[in-house]
Amino acid sequence: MAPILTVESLGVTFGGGTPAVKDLSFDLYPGETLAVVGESGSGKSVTSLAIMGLLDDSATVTGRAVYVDASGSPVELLGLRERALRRLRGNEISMIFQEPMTALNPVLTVGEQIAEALRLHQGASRRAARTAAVEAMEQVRIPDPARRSGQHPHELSGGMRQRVMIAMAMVCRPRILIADEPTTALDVTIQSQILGLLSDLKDETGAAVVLITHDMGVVAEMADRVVVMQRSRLVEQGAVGEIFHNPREPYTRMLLDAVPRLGALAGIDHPVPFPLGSEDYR
Amino acid sequence: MTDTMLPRPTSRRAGSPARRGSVFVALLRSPVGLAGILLLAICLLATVFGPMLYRVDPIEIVGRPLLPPGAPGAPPLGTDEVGRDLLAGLLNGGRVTLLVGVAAAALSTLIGVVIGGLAGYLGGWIDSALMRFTEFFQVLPILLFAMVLVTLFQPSVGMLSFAIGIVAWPGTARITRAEFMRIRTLDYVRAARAIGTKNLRIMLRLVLPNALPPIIVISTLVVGSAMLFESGLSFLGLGAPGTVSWGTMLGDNRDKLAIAWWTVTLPGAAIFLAVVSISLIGDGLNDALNPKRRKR
Amino acid sequence: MMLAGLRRLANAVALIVAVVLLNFLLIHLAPGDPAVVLAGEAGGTSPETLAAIRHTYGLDRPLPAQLLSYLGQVLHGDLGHSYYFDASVTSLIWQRLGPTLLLALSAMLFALMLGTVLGVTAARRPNGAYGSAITVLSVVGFAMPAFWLGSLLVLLFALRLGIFPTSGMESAIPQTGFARMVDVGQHLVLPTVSLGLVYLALYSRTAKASMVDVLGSDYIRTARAKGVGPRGVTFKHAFRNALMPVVTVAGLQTGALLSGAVLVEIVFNWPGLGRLALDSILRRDTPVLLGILVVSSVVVIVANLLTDLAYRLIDPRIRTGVAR
Repeated sequence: MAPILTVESLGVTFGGGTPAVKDLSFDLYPGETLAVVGESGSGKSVTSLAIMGLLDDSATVTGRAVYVDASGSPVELLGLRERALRRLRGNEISMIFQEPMTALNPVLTVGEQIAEALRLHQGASRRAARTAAVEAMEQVRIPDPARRSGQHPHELSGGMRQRVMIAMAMVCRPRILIADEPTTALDVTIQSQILGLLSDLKDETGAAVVLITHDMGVVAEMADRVVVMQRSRLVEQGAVGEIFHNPREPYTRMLLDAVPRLGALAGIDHPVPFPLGSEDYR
Repeated sequence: MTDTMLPRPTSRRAGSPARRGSVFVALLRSPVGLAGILLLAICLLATVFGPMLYRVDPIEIVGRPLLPPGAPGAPPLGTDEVGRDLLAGLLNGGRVTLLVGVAAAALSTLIGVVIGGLAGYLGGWIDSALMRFTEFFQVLPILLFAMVLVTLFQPSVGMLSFAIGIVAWPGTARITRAEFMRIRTLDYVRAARAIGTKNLRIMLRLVLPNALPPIIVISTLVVGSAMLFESGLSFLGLGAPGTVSWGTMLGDNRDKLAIAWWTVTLPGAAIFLAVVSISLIGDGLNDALNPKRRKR
Repeated sequence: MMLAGLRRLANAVALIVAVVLLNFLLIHLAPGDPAVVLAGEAGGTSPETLAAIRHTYGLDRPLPAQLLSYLGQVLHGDLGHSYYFDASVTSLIWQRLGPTLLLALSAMLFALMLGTVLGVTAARRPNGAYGSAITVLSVVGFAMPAFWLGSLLVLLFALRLGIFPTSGMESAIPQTGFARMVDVGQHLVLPTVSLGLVYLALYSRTAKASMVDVLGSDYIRTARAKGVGPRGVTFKHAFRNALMPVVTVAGLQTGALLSGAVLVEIVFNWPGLGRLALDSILRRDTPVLLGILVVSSVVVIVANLLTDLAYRLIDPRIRTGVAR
């Protein structure tokens, strides 16, 4: 099977400082979930923004990111004309963000924000788009979707807002969904619901998902393959099973060790510091 | 141990000499602030030392009326409708304006900081009551109110400063209140309250020094507003009797605009330049004190 | 929302009462006999007139009773009597209110509309030529006394270039209908610019800062990630959000605007409250002055209510009473 997205030697620098992303290469295969893991500042989010062309003028992007579009032709995303990029965004490649509180426009109804994607990319009429938006909200399991679609973001809870974001991103049935820390800002119980939803939608639509996260627990639950980043560079990549059972790099091992295990402190009646890892990390 | 627990403002807070010095330096480094200071210096030198160097009495008639600048036998900037020297008038007229500007701004800052500070820090019904009070003064058309005050009570430089000062404070109060409310929630204030420090001490020693930057900026702008205010009242003929300010000159010569443009244009230019200098300093201070909050 | 609206209304009424109270206080705090103060220096200081004033205003009665009767008077629309003009204050003000409101409104609209357009356009490149021009405009606009600007504009456009009339609201030859509107419009231009420039500077600066702020927010990034183009981003997504601080600032300036109108009216001989106020001051006609104070305060209070209404229309968060 050929990859749907090939990233080669991606580099991103802001205003001549130290690079945010350096020499990053990975492939994304259709229908799989690829997790991009690393700490804050490792360059994970910047990578996805660069691929979508959403970085501002102060960023210098080098390398290649080749996407195979719906008709099968390869498209070089980096440096693509803005108009062509807009046709892909929200349509064939979608992105959802971390903060549902601030990521939705406060003055527009949630239904309108979902419908907008349909009107933009599928030329749907207002009425058709509105109906489809309500259906989309139902698919992401928002209760009472017809009434909710007329409400504004501040009237919904955090979990519901994230569902709206997901609905907005998936409504045009994109082939790639980039999810940038989708559950970090949510309560733990809501987290698992959202992850379950993403998983179901992925199965239904066959989309490939790039899941950006710093939480190895999420990776274990969702990912097929993993890309580990540290301070702008790729450290290790492989199938999720491999990464978890046979991590090759010390940094990867350190990330895994940082996940608290149930029962790890059995028999110890005082706090124990987290293992900070080997010298390689410093 | 209690000693070290109360966070004391370090010498890097505004108000202590070290900090004040560095603010001034930062101000000089910003191009806007530098321009403002230079301009203000020119105005101050002109109004303070000018009359001593150019010893012409602004009230004395020195020539034929309405001589344009550059006419033969005319003083450097011409004469007004009565024959008085315009340059002398400009040099002398600035004093009242600047004095009233500063005095009124000082009064308004005092009132504004007290009201805004109490409202922002104490909250609750005090906040509501004080904000209603502030709203009332914002609703009042301030020029008209000042006009009423000056009519009912005898006009004088002091009265003028007072009248302007007691209507110009709402803006300062709101900014002070916002700052006090913000700082009140910060950890070092919470710590001080937790160990039982008296409110007044907290407000004066912890909150106020840290709230100063925006207060300083707006107070500077209030000086400019007060000067415009004074000019406006003088223009209407409501200035302190017996004194000549730029506004008065403008107002007296208003009807001569068609035939003697210099009698109107030049005093107005003086007001404009003085207020611009203050405004530039205010902007410069804004940049110097809040490098993160550039409002450009 | 009904409850909030009623509360705002009650607040407004309370403010009006407070202004009237202030007037009352001023009459009694001023040096001298309140009766003389009320008579003004119109020469109506004959003992009979003074006695008549005392009787009308009930100055012999205890203060609280006076206050109530004064309040009652004002709320009935009776703002007193002008001994100079020998007319009721209310009628005097009523004649002049229209032109003042016309001037104030057109200045506000001029500043708001042009300011918003300039600010929003400059936000695309905040540090470019456009953006810097707005910053310069705001410094210049703030420092320029309206009466000086008015004089300069008259000098240049009316006297030297002859494009606009020098003063007044209408030409000497009375016009009717559409021609009259055009005539008034022509006379309106220079005063509007004089009065509105300082607010134009303020609003364009606020609009620019606000728009820059909004354009950097998360929901704009989401919109772009959805494929929304620059026009959609600016008009559909950003504009309404950026408008709110501008409306706030505009609302706060109403009192100042009205005050400024007084000055500009005098420069341009505009037949509004400004002239009336100045004449009253010169003649020490206190009732008229106080009446103008009350009326202009009421105008400001009404304008604030309207601003509040505009707020509710723009920002759905306020409609449902959610604190931001």
